[in-house]
Amino acid sequence: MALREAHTSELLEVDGLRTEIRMRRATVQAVDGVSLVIKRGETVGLVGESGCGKSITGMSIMRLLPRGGTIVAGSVRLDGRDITAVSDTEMRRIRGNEVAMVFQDPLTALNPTMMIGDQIAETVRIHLNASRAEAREKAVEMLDLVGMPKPRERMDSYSHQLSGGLRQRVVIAMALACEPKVLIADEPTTALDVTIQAQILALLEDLKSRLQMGLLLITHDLGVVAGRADRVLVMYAGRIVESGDTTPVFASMRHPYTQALLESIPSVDTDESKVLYSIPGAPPDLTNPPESCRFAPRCRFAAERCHTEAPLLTGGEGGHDYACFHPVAGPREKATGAQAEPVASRRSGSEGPETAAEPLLVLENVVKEFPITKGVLQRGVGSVKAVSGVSFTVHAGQTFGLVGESGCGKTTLGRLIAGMEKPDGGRIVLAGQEVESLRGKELHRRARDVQLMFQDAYASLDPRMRIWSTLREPLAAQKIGTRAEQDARIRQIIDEVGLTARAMDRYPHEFSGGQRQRIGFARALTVEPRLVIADEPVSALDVSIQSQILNLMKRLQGERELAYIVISHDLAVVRYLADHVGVMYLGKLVEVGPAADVYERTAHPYTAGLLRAIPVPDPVKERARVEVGVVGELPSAANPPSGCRFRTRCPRARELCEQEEPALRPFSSPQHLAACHFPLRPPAGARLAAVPDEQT
Amino acid sequence: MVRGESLALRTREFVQAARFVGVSNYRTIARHIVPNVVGTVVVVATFSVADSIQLLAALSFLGLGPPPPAANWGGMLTSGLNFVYDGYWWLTYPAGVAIVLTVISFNFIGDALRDALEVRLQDR
Repeated sequence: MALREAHTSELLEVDGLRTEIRMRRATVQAVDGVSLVIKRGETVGLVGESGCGKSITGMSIMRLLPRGGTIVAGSVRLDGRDITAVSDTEMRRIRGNEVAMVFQDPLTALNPTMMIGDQIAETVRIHLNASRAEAREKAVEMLDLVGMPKPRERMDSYSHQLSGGLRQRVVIAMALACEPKVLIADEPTTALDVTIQAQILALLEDLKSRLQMGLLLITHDLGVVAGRADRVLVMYAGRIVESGDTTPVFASMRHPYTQALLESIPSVDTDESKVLYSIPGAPPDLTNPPESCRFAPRCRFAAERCHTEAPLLTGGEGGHDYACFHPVAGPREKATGAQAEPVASRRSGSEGPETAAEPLLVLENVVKEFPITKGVLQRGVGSVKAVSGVSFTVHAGQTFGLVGESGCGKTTLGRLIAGMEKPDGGRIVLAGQEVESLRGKELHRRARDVQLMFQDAYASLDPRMRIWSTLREPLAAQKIGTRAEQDARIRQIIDEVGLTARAMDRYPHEFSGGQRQRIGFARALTVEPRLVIADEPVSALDVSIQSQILNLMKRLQGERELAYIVISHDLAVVRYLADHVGVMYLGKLVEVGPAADVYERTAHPYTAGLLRAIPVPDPVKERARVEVGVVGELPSAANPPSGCRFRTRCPRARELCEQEEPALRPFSSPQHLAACHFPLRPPAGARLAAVPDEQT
Repeated sequence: MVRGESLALRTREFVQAARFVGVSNYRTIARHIVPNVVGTVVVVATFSVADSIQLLAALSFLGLGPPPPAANWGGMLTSGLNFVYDGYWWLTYPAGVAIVLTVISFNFIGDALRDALEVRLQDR
């Protein structure tokens, strides 16, 4: 098949690849001289912020560029053969047979009108000329290989019937159906929960070594790369700025960009009283890239030479290359902030004994169920138990973090607190008033106390309204102040969130993601609320921007005595922001308490599983990891398991868990509660219930 | 169509955000829903004018249009067709060209309106 049988172990060699995308007015030099090598059975990680050209690199290798995209220079050699030169027909054969790709969003990568079995079989039939029956057999085999439970029955499912994790498995099965030599995975786990992410990454790793493939892992998440990749390439503005074996790149990086990236990620053990480092500015415009070092304008070590001359990617020792005139020597000791910016001083009373003051928000046994209807008559056939019996309190000036996998009801809970949904049971008391009892005027006024920050700031801004009007709207609606006073307040808030007043008569689409999130935050602050509910405030942002928003939220909290409810699937973000944390699973709070207790003295196996599933940007720790955290998928909330809801995925589940639902009971401190029959540590005032075979 | 579009907009986050800060229903409709719907509606209306003209011409060409005293391009095409072999082959041209031009220009108007009304495409 291959003209020259693999004489080297180099499977894929990309040399000096330059890709340009021609647009109507300008040409974007998306990839500018990227070289990389993937050996058999090796994982190479390609990391960088969005827009740095990492996806375009992947697409160039596949020759699946968007319209206007052309490879202008360089070569891509697969098994020694240059595939930039082969014909389109030949390329179609190579795609799938020799190189395959896994995309970020498994829902759009699958045809919704085709059964998944047929989709996999189709690939096999086209590429291997197999008969229909053979192809189906192969498809079952592939589904089994990717760990799909009951593969034969799943063959006839449609993609919408599967969960995100299972869909991604199908996509991987399709990519692997013809046993490619190289697999390009473009952000394969970004759309997935941490628990599922860990499972998919473990699967990719396992398949790679079993099938002796080369794997190119494209991601923005340094944590993902740390544990899985043999070598790492850090990309910035279309160029590779640093490359080398994973361990040296992480342990003793030389490029300031790599250092900065790593420093801006909050991790579970970041000291939350410190300011996170954030890279100032934004990546350069690639339609007209500067001649100088592209990172220079954002670099804290940039000298004169950096602004006039571009450094080359040159060798350090042991294949560790970097493109910098003033290389750094390894990571900065985390948060030894050279920045003089004072961090929000810890609010008094946030730790230690609770202040006697009345809590700002009390939730008591809150229940919300959504009916499932069927047929034309909308007959009720059951209900999704989105939130079932959640209780917690939030004090003024504190942050309560709500974590859990998607579908666990955390967003619904946020909407309930905001008053956008009415609870079916229980009480929500905000500042001494029961939210449900509020009518008319008072309900209208409540918006002054609670404000929302949305995940997708763009969708939450009216595309036809200038920012100025958007920010004025809450004030106008609440009839606060005169026009002049409103203007003054808006100006002040804009300044506080770090935007310029000049930007304010623009439309939302003219801003970057981070700026939009700032606008969303500014809008929430205009009415000077006491509580801000932030639903996934940073999950759509790049790490460097993410840290800016986190710092901002933290700083303003200190200045304004704000309380936050931070809803996130990212445990590190919650750890960084929150004083108290609640872990939700299928509509129930399984563990709640002060952040330090929940993270360091974890009692519930689910919390422990979540914590284990977080990828840490540290190769040594990542490699040492044995288990993947939580196995399996979230059960349906319409029909939750009896007894303890987590028992179906719990390694410690016993018969008791099936029969009896565990109640929340105190653990390391009176406020630290967890609901588990067989917790990981003894509850307060009791000895640990006997667990027969203790897991590791 | 206006209803469908409005219903879709109602669930959009920016509308929810506005309602959440206590903007009244009336104001929400006036400030957020109407401006966002109007653009689409105007554009679709223009395109449907072009479509209707074409449809009418096609129907009358088949003899299903307005009766003879009323003039229309489709009818002219049909009658023109009768004289094609009598040396008056050009008789179909005026009506034909007129139809094509009208339809195209309405389409252009629609396109231009869309560009003009879409804030995102405005260069500032």
